[in-house]
Amino acid sequence: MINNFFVLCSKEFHLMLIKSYQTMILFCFIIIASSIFGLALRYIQIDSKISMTVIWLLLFLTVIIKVEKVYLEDFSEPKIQQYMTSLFALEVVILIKNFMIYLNLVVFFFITSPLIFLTLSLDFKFFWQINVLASLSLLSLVFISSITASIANSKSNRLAITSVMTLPLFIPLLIFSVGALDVDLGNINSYLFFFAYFLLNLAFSPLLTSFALKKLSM
Amino acid sequence: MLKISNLSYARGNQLTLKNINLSINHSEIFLIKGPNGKGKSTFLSCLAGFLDPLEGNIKYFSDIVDPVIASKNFIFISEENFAYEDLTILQNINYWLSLNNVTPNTEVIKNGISYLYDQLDITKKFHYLSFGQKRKMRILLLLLINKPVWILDDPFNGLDEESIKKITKIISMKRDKQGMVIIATHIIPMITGMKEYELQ
Repeated sequence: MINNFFVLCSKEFHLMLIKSYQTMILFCFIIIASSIFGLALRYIQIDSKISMTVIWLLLFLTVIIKVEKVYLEDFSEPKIQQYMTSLFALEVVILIKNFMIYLNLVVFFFITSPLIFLTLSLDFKFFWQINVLASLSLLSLVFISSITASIANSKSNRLAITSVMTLPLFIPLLIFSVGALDVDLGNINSYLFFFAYFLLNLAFSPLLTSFALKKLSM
Repeated sequence: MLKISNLSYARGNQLTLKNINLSINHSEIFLIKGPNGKGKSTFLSCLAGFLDPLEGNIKYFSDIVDPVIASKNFIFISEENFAYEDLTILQNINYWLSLNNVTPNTEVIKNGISYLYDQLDITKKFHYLSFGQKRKMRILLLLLINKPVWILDDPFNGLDEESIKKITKIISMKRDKQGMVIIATHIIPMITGMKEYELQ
């Protein structure tokens, strides 16, 4: 079982690599959007917190689109039927897929972040801090987005609109991400919120996502 | 043994299945017949535990069919394609086998492929396959994932005569090995001793 779990992980990683072009397109949009923002406000001195908020909002939109796209392709009705009759629980598959999406996004963010810093005229002393904050936020962002995507992809249009109810779950992440910018990177205690929030999402998100997929997409 | 008692299912306000009582034994091939829209696929989905019935229950031996029972004993092959188009044929086979906790055996996979296909390059991307070839890969998975109950939704659709004969043989062999096969189809396979049920 353990061996096959790792085979499954490797295949999911492979799938995510193949679909990396989607992430690349999304990050191109992030760079264009941050360039437009930077150009529009070029005569105004922007606070690093405002830039962090812009980065965070762009990341939020990217994650929502990426997760929705992956879920639309990988959790079609015939695939869910196979997952349901397989020996690995649907929750395990969701967990693996979410981690692969996370890895994909984190790597692309790290690669493109110097360019985003330049376009937003952000001070490079925040480079590691913003990368760490984005990596921590992305974990929870992906897991919450999976609930949103599974409801949004439901068969019933009336139910799909209820996916907006998950949006308030993203707000604490924005508040703490911007707030944590003042804190020194070595102060681990300031980042505990992200770990706690992620653990909460790790516990509930796969269950809620699988429930939504089984009940709304079949 | 699969025992279906008083099964009813409603989609929205419409009652799709009404009071179905059936008993299906191992070493049996059970054919579900009926015109389009009579609920053949819905019935199979209820059997596999994908849909919750409005009334009644389905028991596999003494246990009510739930996700655990279904995942241990049933394999469901739907009408639609479930394979990943971006992966190669071999990668797809390995993916679905590992999901069912089956360690892939290259020799067995090659034998299965040579039986179902005349010639096939397993390193080819799945989306290069024709409609019929894609359907045959689902049958190949039936052979490789050994579960006692096969639930097949229209397995012969889009296949040529030769392929239908081969799949019919596979189904007969499954019955001979104490397996249970439940098929919903319009194409009646040439198998002797099949049981039939017509959805009204």
